[in-house]
Amino acid sequence: MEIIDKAKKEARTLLSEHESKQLLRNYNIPVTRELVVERREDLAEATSGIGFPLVLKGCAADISHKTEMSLIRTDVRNDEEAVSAFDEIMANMQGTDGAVLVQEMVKGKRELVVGLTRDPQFGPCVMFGLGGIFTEILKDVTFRVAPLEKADALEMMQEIKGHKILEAVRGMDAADLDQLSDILVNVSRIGIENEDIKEIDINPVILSGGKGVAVDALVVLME
Amino acid sequence: MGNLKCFFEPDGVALIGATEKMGFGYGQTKTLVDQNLGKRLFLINPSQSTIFGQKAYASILDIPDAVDLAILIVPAGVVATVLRECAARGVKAVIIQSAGFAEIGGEGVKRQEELTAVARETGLRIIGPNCVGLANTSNGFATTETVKEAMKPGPIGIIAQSGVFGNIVMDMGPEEGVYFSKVITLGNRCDVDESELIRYLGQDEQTRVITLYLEGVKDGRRFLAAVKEVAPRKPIVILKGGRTAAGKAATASHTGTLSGEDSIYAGAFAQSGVLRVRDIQELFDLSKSLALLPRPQGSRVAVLTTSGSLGGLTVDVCEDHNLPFAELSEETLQTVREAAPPWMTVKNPLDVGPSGLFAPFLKTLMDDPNVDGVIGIFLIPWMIVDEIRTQGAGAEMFLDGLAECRQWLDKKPFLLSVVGKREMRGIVQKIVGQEVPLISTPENAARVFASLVRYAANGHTADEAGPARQDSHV
Repeated sequence: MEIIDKAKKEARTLLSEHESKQLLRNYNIPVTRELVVERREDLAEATSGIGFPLVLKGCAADISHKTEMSLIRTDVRNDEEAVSAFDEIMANMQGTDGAVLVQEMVKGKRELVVGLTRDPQFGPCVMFGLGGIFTEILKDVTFRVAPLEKADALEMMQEIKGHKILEAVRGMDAADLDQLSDILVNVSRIGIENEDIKEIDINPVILSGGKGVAVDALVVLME
Repeated sequence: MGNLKCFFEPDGVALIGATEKMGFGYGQTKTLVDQNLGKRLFLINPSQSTIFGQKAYASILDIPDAVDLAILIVPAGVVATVLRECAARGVKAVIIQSAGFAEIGGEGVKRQEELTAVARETGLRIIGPNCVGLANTSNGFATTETVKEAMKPGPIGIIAQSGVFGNIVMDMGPEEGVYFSKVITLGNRCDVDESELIRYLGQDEQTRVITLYLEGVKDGRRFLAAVKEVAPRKPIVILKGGRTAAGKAATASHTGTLSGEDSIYAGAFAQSGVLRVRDIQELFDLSKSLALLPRPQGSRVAVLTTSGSLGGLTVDVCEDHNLPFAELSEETLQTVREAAPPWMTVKNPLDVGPSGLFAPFLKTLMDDPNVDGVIGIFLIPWMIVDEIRTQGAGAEMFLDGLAECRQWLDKKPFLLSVVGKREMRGIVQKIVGQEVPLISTPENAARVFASLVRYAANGHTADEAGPARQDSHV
């Protein structure tokens, strides 16, 4: 795959958020509409192309967890805010080969995590669970061995302690379990079909109108 | 895999390292000699010319007839040499009991690799090293000392990645009402592993339930393939221990950090249909229930108890497993109301207290079409039993009609748990008979029912010949 070959040529083991999402898109996994902006001059075109409100993020191949580095600005509502966010993020990224990712802001309160790992015994395994910034504190996740069938995906989603979050709760739509199953099954396919890929984090997958959208993604390649 | 038969039904056996001197090897020698294999058993030890009155040979190369199975209890350093001699002599299967291989690390790992290499080169199959071998109750063949009662043929096949676990299970089994078809200890798995044995027991007619003790699988994907092939026909139960600290390298992703070894095993088991138990007690409870009880048609449970507190504990576990409580039919409610004393609350869970109505209401619940399985918790304070004994009666008077439950064994599952003084359990077991399993605790009764439901829900309802009867082992 082109994105992976490029990273390998550059001796990188991480794909940037944007590259990671391209991979997901190739496997029919819904991702945010977004554009990479390197120069301030190009910002306006990007923001009008996607439409406010927006999220601006620092995007570079060697940045994996952005919250800690203050590289995210959400709920950007107009051009002024966009410019100021752009400048701030670029400043915080000094020293890296970064650009700014201009991204639609997905509306949804429920954050899930979907992942892929390679187990030495079982090979590629898919993870599902409660996501967001507290993912590693909640540890409410389940695993299945790739390749997944739809039944496996449906079962693993019901196994997390917080599975009721997928129901129509608090005035929100019930999650589209078929659509989420497809995401899990497709992630398992990525693991089977790409031996170069070591790990994938899709966190968060935000439920918007009940459907999952990958709002951030990290792909780790084998060394 | 057809070549595993020699392990269980050998035409001829050579015990290499046989001895009549006290110490390691004595027990194995005596056990084999006592099995009256006659001309089919060869004892080999270069430094003893007769053992237990039987002629001993210096080497397997000296024995007059070919054998298909050899058992090695010689020091680790000479195992490889002896193994090659076995191959040269046409031996097809070898059980290596000797320790001092991969389990000690370092040199031991290399020594073990050599054994695997010999197996690959010669086509010879190896169980072990570092194991106690196996027992086959259908023909009485055992490579380790066994308790006589534990060799009564039964429906449970045991595969253990351990030496002593096989002995533990055979020591405990009869008292738990569990009898075995085959018990195999795998040791270090230099060749034959659990995946092959799952398939072997999968087509073994005597085995109705395959139960494993593993610390880790030898090859995850082969294991899953074997389970997926066999589980639809025969339930597979696993007790997995030894959560080794997976020495995790620094990982960039949440997924890498969260994928602790056990969470992946848990997912793999759930996915492939393996039924997992938490401890040895549940291993016995579930194994025998799968062998003896019919499959539930659904998951609606009714709980019957003589003790409100025990009933409550049971209900907690039912809820943990999302078991729906059966809505009792009008007919059931009426039957119960008519017989029940005024203080009894008629609902599910049903607490009959000291009314003496446990057995009749068990029948009523079993007859209810809305009920897929009944958990019955029985307790009488022993002082009452003592009291009625002084009057010449017995505890049986509280269990009048319970013997009938034998007839329900082809209807729907019922999980009976007798709590209190151990003697009570023996009394109840006598009344219901050996073919009705009694579960060790009320909580386990709930867990076992949940597993029965799970097994049936996986589509595994088609049994080849219906549930086994315990008397089929006699």
